[in-house]
Amino acid sequence: MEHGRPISHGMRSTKPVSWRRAVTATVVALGLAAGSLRASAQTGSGIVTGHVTDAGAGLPIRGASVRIVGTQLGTQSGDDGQYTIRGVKPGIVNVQVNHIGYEVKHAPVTVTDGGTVTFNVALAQAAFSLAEVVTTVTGTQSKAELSNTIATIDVASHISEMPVTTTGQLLSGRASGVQVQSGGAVGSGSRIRIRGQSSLSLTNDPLVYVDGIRVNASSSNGLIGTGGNTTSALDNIAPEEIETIDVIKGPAAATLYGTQAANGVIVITTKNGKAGSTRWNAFSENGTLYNPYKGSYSDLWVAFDTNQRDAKGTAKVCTLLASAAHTCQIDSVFHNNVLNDPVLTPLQHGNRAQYGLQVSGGSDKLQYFLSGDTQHEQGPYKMPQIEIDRLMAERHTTIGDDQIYPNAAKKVNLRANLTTQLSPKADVAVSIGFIDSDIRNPTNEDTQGGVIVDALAGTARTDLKDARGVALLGYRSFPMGDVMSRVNTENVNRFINSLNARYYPASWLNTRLNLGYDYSAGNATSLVRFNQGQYGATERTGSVSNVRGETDVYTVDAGATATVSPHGNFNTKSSVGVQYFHNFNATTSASGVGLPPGATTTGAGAVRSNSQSTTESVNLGVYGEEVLSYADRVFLTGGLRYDANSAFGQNFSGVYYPKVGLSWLASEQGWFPKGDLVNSFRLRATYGASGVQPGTVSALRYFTPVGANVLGTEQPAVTLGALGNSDLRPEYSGEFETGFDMTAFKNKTSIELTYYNKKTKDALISAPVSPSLGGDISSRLENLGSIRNQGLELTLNNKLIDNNQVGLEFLVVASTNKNEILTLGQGILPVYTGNLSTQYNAPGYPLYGLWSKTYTYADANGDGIIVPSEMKISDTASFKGPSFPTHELTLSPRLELLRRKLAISAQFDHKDGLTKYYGVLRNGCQGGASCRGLYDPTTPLDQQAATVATSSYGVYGGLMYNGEFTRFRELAVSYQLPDAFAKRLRSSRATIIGTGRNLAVWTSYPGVDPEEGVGSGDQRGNEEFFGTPPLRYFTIRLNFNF
Amino acid sequence: MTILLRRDRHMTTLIPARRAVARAGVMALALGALSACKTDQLLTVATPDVLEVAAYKTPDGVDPLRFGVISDFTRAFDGNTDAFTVITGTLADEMYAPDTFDDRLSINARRSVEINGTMEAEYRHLQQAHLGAINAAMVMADVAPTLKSQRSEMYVIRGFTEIFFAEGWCAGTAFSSETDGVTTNGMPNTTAQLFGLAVASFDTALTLADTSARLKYASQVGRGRALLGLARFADAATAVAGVPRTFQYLTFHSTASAREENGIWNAVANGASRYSLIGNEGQNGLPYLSLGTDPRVPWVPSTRTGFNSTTPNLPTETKFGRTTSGIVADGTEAQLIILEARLQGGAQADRDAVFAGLNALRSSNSPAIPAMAGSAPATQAAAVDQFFAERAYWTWLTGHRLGDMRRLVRQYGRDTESVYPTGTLQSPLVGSFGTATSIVIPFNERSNPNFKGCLDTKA
Repeated sequence: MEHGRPISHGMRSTKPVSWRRAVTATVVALGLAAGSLRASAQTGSGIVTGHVTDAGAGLPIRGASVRIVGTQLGTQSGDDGQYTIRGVKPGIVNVQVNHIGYEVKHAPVTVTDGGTVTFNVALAQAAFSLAEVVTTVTGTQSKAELSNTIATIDVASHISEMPVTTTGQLLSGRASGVQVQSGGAVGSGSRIRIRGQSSLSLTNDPLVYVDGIRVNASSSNGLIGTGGNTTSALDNIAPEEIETIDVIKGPAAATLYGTQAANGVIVITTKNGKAGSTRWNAFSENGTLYNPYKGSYSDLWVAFDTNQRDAKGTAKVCTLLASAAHTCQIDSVFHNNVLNDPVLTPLQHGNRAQYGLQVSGGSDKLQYFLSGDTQHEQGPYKMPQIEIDRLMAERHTTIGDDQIYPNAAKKVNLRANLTTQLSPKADVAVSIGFIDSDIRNPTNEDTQGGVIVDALAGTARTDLKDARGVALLGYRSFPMGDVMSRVNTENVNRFINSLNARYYPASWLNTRLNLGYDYSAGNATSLVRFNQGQYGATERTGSVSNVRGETDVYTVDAGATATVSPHGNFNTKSSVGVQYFHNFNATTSASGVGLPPGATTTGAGAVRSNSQSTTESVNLGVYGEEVLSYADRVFLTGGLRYDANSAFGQNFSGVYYPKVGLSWLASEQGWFPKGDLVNSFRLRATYGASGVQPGTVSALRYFTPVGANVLGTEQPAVTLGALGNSDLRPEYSGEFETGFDMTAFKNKTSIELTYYNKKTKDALISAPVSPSLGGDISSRLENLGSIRNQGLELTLNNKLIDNNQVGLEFLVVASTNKNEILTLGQGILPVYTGNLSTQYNAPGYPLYGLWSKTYTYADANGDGIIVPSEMKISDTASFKGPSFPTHELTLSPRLELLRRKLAISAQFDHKDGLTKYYGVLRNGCQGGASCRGLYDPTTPLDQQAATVATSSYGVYGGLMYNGEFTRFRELAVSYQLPDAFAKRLRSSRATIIGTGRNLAVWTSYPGVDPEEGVGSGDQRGNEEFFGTPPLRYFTIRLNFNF
Repeated sequence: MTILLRRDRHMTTLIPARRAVARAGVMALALGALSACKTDQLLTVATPDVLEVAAYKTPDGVDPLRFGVISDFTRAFDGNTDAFTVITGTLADEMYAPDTFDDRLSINARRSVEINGTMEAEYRHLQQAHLGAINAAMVMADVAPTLKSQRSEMYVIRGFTEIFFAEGWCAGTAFSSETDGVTTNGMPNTTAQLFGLAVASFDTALTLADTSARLKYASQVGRGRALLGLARFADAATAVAGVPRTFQYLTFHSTASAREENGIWNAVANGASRYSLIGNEGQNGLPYLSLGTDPRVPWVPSTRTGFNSTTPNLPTETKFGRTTSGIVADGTEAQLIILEARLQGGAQADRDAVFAGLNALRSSNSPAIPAMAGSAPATQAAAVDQFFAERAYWTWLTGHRLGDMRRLVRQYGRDTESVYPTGTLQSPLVGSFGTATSIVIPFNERSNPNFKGCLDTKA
């Protein structure tokens, strides 16, 4: 026994004291909800049916939501706009029809017992509608009744003209408060942060749901390290399969999602078939991609005193400081960069191709959506021909494409979504998604074997040679061909399967069951074949690592919602539910070093090693929510969730998350002025809480196995791996959110403005443990800290021109975020993070803020050279700025011409308030490698001072720059080809779309690119360090509907 | 009562409300079965990576526990790129850092600071070995009291780590503990106290060494080294008496895992290395690379460039390969301790004896090393210089040199700047050497409320 924890044969159990009570209460509530059927038994029912069309164009609207107000009855219109709702209580019912981008329409309809009533609806376009339906834990809800804001992205309507290649990119600039960084090579994932970072030590990734089930969406999903950037599980999901994305931004809105939802929730709904004729959609996309900075990278520098030469006649390298000390005299200065040399650069144009086919349709009883697409991207790297020739001569054979083109991604996505109406009161939807992803990633970012490291960390000297005497030509330490001989591959096969069953025992009662299984199996390899790779390094003997991993996420989610009208205009909606989530991850790693010629497997290695890792966690939660409404204009919401989790400490049983909120449609009040100036106005305010669970075994004190050679013999050995914390509980984030939604000017303008204040208490801090106490264990998770995020969010949509001929629309998405560590806990030292401890996490300042000692300088002797003695360094470090943007503004104009058959849309993305650490320059200045300030006598004094501070004092403040930028992110031009042309192709509609991405950037940041990051984590994620900047894409897409 | 419609193949029938109720009830029961009946089991997860602490308080757990301590000690001594032997050799005059990270450059430049992740990692590795040795010795005494010599080795390791803290870091190292969730923060120790702790550890090791000559001799040499640190030269000589010249207390390396490789080889000879060899560093450094074919300092030239890519033609040491054992203590060191004690006599006869002793060590080496020409130095200062140079060559890359340089300042009255590298840094590094004589205890030790920083940064 250790601290009272029972030994349980490798298993661990958490026994929450009040868990049974909470579950029992929920089950009883579910039972009562069902049992109370009797209380409002009906005497019969009728059918409401009809068509939903666009009031302007007269075309059918697919996917419009049609609901019987005050009940749980509702459906969506099919591809031909038709809908049918059965089981409607006879009498006068209020039918509500809405769709994203249209005004809501209400109308009373008289239903007779056993009869069918037809209600056709024509919807007018609108910038925004509060009646829009969004997906939440308790099912679908109209935005009006939610006391928080939810951003909805209508993907299906616009995906064909969006210049995006990943689901992460879909979110960029389309929802306020959502920050997306998509840098890196082809196949690299996106980092998504909603309303800032809340945690210093845990993940800040949001939760992701697909079709009602929780899925793995880790932004760092790579199985094998390639230096920094990695693949993202979210980006496995094909944008073409998505109908809508709802972004639930913080704990105030995500309370019922429970533990893990504090970072927000992204709810993805994939496309579904609609009743009607079979519809086919085929598309083909081809394009080019490249690193936009090819040929324009900053140069590397060196200077010589040619009058001083060594025995071999090599001129002496002379730095400015040596020159100032008169030990040498600079008489020649050289600068160049292999990335700017067309012969030596590994940067080349890549390409992209995507082909897909989708079919949907069905009857009243069964609807289907089938989709398949394949895409292939070849990244922006290619081995220089001069290196190919050298290696061919060395190896006496051709060089494989996997080495010549180290970056490529190939993906196949298949999806089958079926929905069947088992009875008028029950339907079941089954979704099966399959992903086959193959990615080849170059080694890059923070690793000495990286492609960009080998170029940018080199030297302007071209006379150096490697250990066997091969000329380096300006590459760092190893010829580029040897570096590119390492091949990293990752294959993932993934199934995302869900079953969503709904049963309506009565018109006022909706019960639901969501079952889900997200399974992915990965196989990643990093291989250097025998006698290839970096000369003089171990890998040259042949080296291979292989990691195989499995990640499973299980979801069981059952709930019920009852809607009752107890009196007049009063309505109540009561929801209860229970949710079970089970995450499992297991990896097996093996490596072999010393491979015989031709061998590529770990078993062939002369020296073999292996390891295993397993993590598993379970979360079990129950919730209840009550929505009281008056006259469909005042909505009061209260809710409570209780969670128990296997990762909580033994002394902590569970956690309650409350929520309360108010939504008031003021414009529905009689006194509100009617007219075209303000069409609708809603005020909303809410408070809610959520959390993030600790690491799966963070609560435990345990040993971990290590390798040990004792007197020449390998022996089994253990060492202390963690100190543990039996009091560990989740981070607890409470958030207050308030704001208003308004439509104005004949519904042509909509404004959403929101203020949020999210405070994370019990923040899990990796509290530093003194070396004398912990040894290798440098930290222990403790619930100590408090972190606040607050800010404003604005979404403004303005349809300036909206007629049959022309449309002009602007979307403005803006947000601010002020992040602040309030406390770290008593006795806890500020936590250093970042490369070379450049980030300092202290109360009163933001998470991951950049800090540095300051310096002053003066060229005292007037020789034009700053030397260390002419600088004064402060004793303590001071705050230089946040490492993540505090202000974001995205402007997305859209112009439609030629009877709106020609559409031109764009996105301009501005971010400011951030400070960016130019880590590449630090590397060049420190250690005497290549930065201009070390060698060039014409270097401005401020740059010399920054160089000297770096090289002589290890002070990097001079390399921390304003990271503000404005980027021309997207451009799309789509044209609907003439009908006659389309018909000639037997198509009902044909569209050609040209797109561009990352077309220009305006910034004062002197590094390569303000969005180039070292990885998807927060600690160094915004540091520029030998990575791949955002790539520029140009594509042409053809889209055919049949 | 009939309320619900159910559509059959060809007809619509009314079904009783109670059937609907029954269906809902079944659903509720299913939920209940799911969530209420199995809640405890549902929250139970497998943790195969977690090795329960209690399992290593048993007789079966003792061997893996002590093997882990040996592994931790090996890693800390010479089993990682930034091992004790490497970083102390870099702060001293054996190595330098052709690197681009200030973590290492600052040590090379004698600018030791509290915030230095790489140096902190090595300090933690040593503490891990020390903590593990204490824990393992306690467990063994409790559950396997007959394993005396095995327990002795835990005290040997404990003693050497205490010496390393004393020789490598500024004064102030503390030793803390946590038992049953209760933390006891240690008090900072002076350098002398650390050597004193080491002497006590080796005393215990000697009493437990049983029939193991290897551990007995290791305890003797370790005890002698600690006593040298306390300037108790005669006691040191007494402590190492009887240790044979052939004795070696070694670390063992293999390619089975990265942490088992020889760290000196990794740091100095593998690929674009972060550390390299140097001679005559900063005016005062010994001419390690100018000794010709002296087998004590073996190296070969190469055209390799260092990690910074601008330092070409790095020398490659050949003393340690990827799996070569490291030398923690040996019989030669015992002889050197005896000779140093003799040198304290200060008379010409003592110097003559030491000179003869040093040459005897040379001639008895395999392969033999030519004797030093001439006769013993005529001055004590010259004799000290000669003795410490010989000691440095014998112990090259074994983590002794920094401690010896500190002793030259502390015990022999030498000026720091006449012992340590000083003046202008070697190209392409820019600027001048700083003034550090030891590595600063890392910032995070301040989490120990008793620790307020180095007690003393002097040599």
